[in-house]
Amino acid sequence: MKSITLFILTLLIIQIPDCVFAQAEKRNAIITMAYQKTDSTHVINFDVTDIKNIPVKDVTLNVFVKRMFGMMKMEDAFTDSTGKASLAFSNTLPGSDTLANIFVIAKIEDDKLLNDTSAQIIIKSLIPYQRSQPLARSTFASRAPIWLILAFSILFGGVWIVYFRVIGLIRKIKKAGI
Amino acid sequence: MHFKTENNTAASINLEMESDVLKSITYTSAKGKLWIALLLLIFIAGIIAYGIQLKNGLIVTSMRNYVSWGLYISMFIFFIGISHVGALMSSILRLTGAEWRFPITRMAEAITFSSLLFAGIMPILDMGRPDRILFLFTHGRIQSPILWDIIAIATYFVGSTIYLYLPMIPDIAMLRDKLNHASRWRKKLYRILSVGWKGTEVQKQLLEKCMNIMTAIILPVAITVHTVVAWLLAMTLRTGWNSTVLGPYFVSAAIMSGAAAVLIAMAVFRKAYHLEKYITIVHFKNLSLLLFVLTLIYAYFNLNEYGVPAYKMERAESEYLNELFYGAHAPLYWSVQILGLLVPLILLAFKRIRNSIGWIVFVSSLIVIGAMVKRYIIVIPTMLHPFVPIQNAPIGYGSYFPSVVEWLVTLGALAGFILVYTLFSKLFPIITLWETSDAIKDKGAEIVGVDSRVSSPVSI
Repeated sequence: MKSITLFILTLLIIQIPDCVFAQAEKRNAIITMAYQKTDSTHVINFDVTDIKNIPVKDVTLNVFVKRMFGMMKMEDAFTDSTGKASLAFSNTLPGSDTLANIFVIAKIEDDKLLNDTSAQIIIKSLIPYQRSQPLARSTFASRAPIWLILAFSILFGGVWIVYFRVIGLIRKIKKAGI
Repeated sequence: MHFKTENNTAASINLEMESDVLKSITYTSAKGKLWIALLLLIFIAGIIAYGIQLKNGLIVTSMRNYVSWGLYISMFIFFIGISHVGALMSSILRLTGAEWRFPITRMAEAITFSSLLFAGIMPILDMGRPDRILFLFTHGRIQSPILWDIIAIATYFVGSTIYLYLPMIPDIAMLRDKLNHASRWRKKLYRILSVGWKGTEVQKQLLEKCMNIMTAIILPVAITVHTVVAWLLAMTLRTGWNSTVLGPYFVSAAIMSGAAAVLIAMAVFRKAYHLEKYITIVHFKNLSLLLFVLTLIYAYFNLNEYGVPAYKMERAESEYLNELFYGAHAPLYWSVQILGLLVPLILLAFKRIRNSIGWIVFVSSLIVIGAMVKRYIIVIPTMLHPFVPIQNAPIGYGSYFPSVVEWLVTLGALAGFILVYTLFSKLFPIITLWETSDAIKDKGAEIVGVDSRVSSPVSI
């Protein structure tokens, strides 16, 4: 029993410094995003610093654009020695909402030196929002189209008129027997 | 029972045939009574089971959110299917002037009547709140296939009842005049339904006119009904149902299963009512040849229905087809395709098989059972394959096997259908006597397909 306790304690002693050092090594970072417009592209400039405002180099920024059912992955951006990075994408990208806003999100994820963090910038799409029109499937509409009402009424109305004609003839058969 | 012979209201009916057919109405053997009692028992068991379902709700069935159409709707499609035989076969044979049709047309038309009666009930059984069926009439939307279905079935039921009734008038008049010792309600029924038929020339002309009109109108109505039933499925965007051939596919299956059902009915009535002289091997041969052609047409539509999407294997469709071909439903699917289609097709190709009543009944039974199971295969696997996958659903929602209540209700409906058919044959001649007699007189027994011993009709 004593040996087991000693073994567990030894393990804990070995593990604790690892955790402590790992926590201590990672720093918090701040991503600053700025928008720059060109003729054919949207350009986003990134500035990554730590909390002491010291630029952080060689950081991979995962850039996404918000879409209806999730995040659309754009290209990655890499900070240079001054902690700056840049990413250009086509200005034909439609907006994410009715106001034609494009939500660009930059994330630092699973970095060896920095804790996970993210930032967002909202830019305007050059493409106006196109409200999707419901398909013109008239038979599904709340009001039946006139051609359907007419076709249906003529078809089945015609059959029922024939039935009544035959019932009339049956009555004549009865009268003929009197 | 004693028959009158002095009255001339039923035109020239062959006395021997009249006597033989009337025996089936006036006399019920012990076996016949037992048969009716058995059917009644199963029917009552079905009513009790439905009472349980009505009291406790659809929770007593295996139907849940995904499979909301189960055994009941499968049977609804089956009943609609076999109901086609009366209108289609009788009408087509009448239009094409096939003289051998006379002894079997009423059997076919009576199948239509009794199966439509229960086809109309099945969707109501499927409803959790059957009282809301009235909403279809008060709040129905003309653009909904459900409303098309209701109107089409009602139209077909009324039409096929008139079509069944018209050639019965002279025969009912004969019953009115000859069944002296029939019960009062029977006499009253025959008196009302015979509409004062005396067989005058004017009456005959009027009846002929009515029958010509109905023969022409019932065919498109019958095709419309089963097409609309197919549209009930095909108008929804679901795997397996999203098909443009579903309408004609259903119609072809309907005529095939209906023809097989008539062949079985012919064999049963022939034996039970001793009608060997009037329903002969000629009728079996002709009808089984027709059944062979109908099965070929159905096989062609089967190839289109499954072969074309299987070649493309579109994403959602492939999930459904793989389930049918290799998955949980594969044993049922292949059993139906092999035993209900391929084997009958091969067997019916042989003349020796088509010359044997026993073999024809065997093949027809395979086709009818196959048609019944096929409706299940058409409805259930599709319901289990929605476009949005079934995830995190409560236990039992992702699969379906009918509960005891569903089996009992369905068996009750099936027994009810056979019971109505049997009782019909106990009330009215199952062979159209006056038409058959007239045809024998005009064309001869050989053309009509009856035994040559009844080749000398006696005018009364």
